[in-house]
Amino acid sequence: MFYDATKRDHGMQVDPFTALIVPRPIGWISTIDGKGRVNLAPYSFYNAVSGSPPMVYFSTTGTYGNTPTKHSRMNVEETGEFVVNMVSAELGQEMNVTTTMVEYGIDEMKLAGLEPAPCRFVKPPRVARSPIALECKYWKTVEMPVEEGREKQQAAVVFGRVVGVHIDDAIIKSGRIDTLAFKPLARLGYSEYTTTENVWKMSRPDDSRYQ
Amino acid sequence: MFYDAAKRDHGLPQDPLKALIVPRPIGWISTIDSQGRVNLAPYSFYNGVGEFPPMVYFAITGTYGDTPTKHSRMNAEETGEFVVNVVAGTLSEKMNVTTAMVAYGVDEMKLAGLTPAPCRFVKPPRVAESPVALECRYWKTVELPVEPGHEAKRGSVVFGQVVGVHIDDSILKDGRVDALAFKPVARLGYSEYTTTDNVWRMRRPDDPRYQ
Repeated sequence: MFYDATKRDHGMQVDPFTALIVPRPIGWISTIDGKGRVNLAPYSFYNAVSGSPPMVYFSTTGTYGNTPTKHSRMNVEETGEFVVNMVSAELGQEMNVTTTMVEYGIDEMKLAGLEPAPCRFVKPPRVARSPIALECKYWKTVEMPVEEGREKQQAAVVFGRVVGVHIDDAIIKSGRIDTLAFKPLARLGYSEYTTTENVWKMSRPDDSRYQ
Repeated sequence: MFYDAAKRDHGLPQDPLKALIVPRPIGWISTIDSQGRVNLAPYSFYNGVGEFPPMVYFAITGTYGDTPTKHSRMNAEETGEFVVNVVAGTLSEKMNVTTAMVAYGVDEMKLAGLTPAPCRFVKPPRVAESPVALECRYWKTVELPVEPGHEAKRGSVVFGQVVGVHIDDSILKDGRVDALAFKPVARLGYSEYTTTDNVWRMRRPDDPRYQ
């Protein structure tokens, strides 16, 4: 089938867009506001954008409850810092608790019963139980185009530079990160998730190790 | 362990960054140049960035062989169009063929033995074998910061708006996209990949259907 993405004439009950870009990594973003209050929320419009320098983005959609933009974006722009925590398989329930719509200033890390751990180069705490945490400095926000009639759902891409990296020694094997040692969760469409349960190798044809 | 991302003092044989942002979806981008020659290449710095309108990005790193930027970016900027094809589990070997470093103008779709299929709103062909293809109009490119000493690896983010969507009817079940019907391949670190082999549901706590 084919549909016009502007008209959304797909005839389905639920728009399939997010089910077509899968699996999406989850950036579990911790920030603090100007008063030092912690915020923690997962974003699946999240990924790396560069290796040199290491940079990531997360994208937020429109307003959220009582604030003009989502809390993570507000805090990042106000303080210039954020932390991306890894959602390993064992943290799925805790991650889900942090998706709850709560008032600005409510600490979702506490709400989910998670322990904060200090960062080295930035002020927001990381999630102590996350096997990976990326300390980031805000670079800039790029506002996405507005869709007519959807002004409140305008998206914005928040870019940050990774300045410090925490890795739990337990997931390092022979000098490499062992994905199966923490089984990252990823987002699919609708209310669906997947757990990374298999890893296989394939070298590029121009790699000398290719056969 | 902790390392300073600017100094890269991780002491590991290979930089772990890409293994820390996982699993990454793969955007298999088809474009044409001004002479109509087809290009096809996979990018794992790829994801959605907005839903209203539906927008995606792919990020490229620096120069590539004989051209000032990677061919996909050159073509997207020159023609204003690109198509994102989904790499189903059955297409991984063919996707790998299209990672080969080839001269500008060489058609990787042909090289991999794939069939071009026409798009509706844009000129580049889509991969007929892909169960999902997103027809995109180029919006803009954001140049990322330069890391001193790594000028040739400067990254840039190419944004596009999804205007048309092809979905193979065989992956639709009860009006929803069934991820297990095509098992999308995703990128991990090093030369590692994962195949989406499990799907489970978790509703947000504030969803009235949550229990």
